[in-house]
Amino acid sequence: MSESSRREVRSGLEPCLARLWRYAVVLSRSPDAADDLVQSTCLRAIERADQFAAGTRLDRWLFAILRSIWINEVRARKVREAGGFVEAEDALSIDGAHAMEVNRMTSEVLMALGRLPDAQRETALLVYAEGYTYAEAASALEIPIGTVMSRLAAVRTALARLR
Amino acid sequence: MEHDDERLAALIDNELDEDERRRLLERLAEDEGLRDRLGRLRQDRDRIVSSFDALLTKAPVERLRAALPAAGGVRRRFAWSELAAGVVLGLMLAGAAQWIGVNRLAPDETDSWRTAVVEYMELFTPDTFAFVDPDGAVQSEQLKAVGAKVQVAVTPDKVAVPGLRYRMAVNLNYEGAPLGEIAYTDAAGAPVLFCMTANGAPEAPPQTSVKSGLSYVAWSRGGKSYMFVGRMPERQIADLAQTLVARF
Repeated sequence: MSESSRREVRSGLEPCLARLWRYAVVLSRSPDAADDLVQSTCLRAIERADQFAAGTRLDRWLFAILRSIWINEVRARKVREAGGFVEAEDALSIDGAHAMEVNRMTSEVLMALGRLPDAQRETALLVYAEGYTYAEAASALEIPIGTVMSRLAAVRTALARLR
Repeated sequence: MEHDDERLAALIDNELDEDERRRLLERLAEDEGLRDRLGRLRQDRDRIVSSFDALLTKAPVERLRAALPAAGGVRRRFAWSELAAGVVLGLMLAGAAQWIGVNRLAPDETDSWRTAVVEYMELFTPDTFAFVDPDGAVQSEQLKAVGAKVQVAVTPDKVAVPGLRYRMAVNLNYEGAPLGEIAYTDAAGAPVLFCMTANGAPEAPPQTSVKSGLSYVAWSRGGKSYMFVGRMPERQIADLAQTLVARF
């Protein structure tokens, strides 16, 4: 059982890297911090592979690890105050120069998402981009379903202003 | 209206139970305004999804994969303990990068990054790199990643120093500027670092100094600053640095 868990974790990490990075950059709003966060997540996953229930969704398990590292370790260090983190206005556009292939609407939406409170941004990612049901998002974020819905409503309101 | 939006959004997100769904669909059939509203909400949702998807294409997958020795096929031949040690060390250094950012001593000094390197290098021991021994392919990959960040061409040949053994190269960050670090060990296993950062510093010829018992050679060229540092006498570090000074 634990051997199959370890194998599944090891072989499953790589296909999840891009999505882990996206989650990390949505949480941290910093591509550099996202790199570190993904690396820490992979290490933690390897260390704790025995705890992964083989056959269940590895991506969700990795997301939970990444979130817990972000909340308990990285954010707790208040690294954002130490510089190196982009301002909210630049947020998710990953800076103007690199926004190139992304069309204007996309980068406007990303900017708007970047200005949202962390909790709303994260909820939007999980439900809209990662396909979590409201109940799954509520459980992952440890909040009531009603809060998931009100966060999504706030995201919609913010986005509607771009129309 | 707001309540309707909530329901319409739940409909789009496939979150309504059968009854609610049927009732809402009946209302939609009758109410053009509600249908317009649904259309706009659907559009907003699509825009959010496609923006998040665009973000996905920005993920530095190659770099992340390179930092993931455990999952790649190429490096399976290494012992697991070596792989794990490599990952741990990389993370330790990555952690150190943040630590550098937080605890900089002299932010107004133009070479404060060097102070930071010295500070955390004090944590290194001869055991630090004991289980890190990448082969040529991994070396090239690591150096390529560092070179891409700092925008300096770095290859195994170019960073080879006679008498020192290459151990690893990692990307760090100092005050928003990429900081590349290449680690070696000497014959006794003592760590020696070659660091580079694209900080736009003015040209400066190589200069040898000692800080906290560590000797280092520092120079700047072409908008990049370099530092070669180890726990050894000044003269020895200056001798060892010669090949690098000539190439960078």
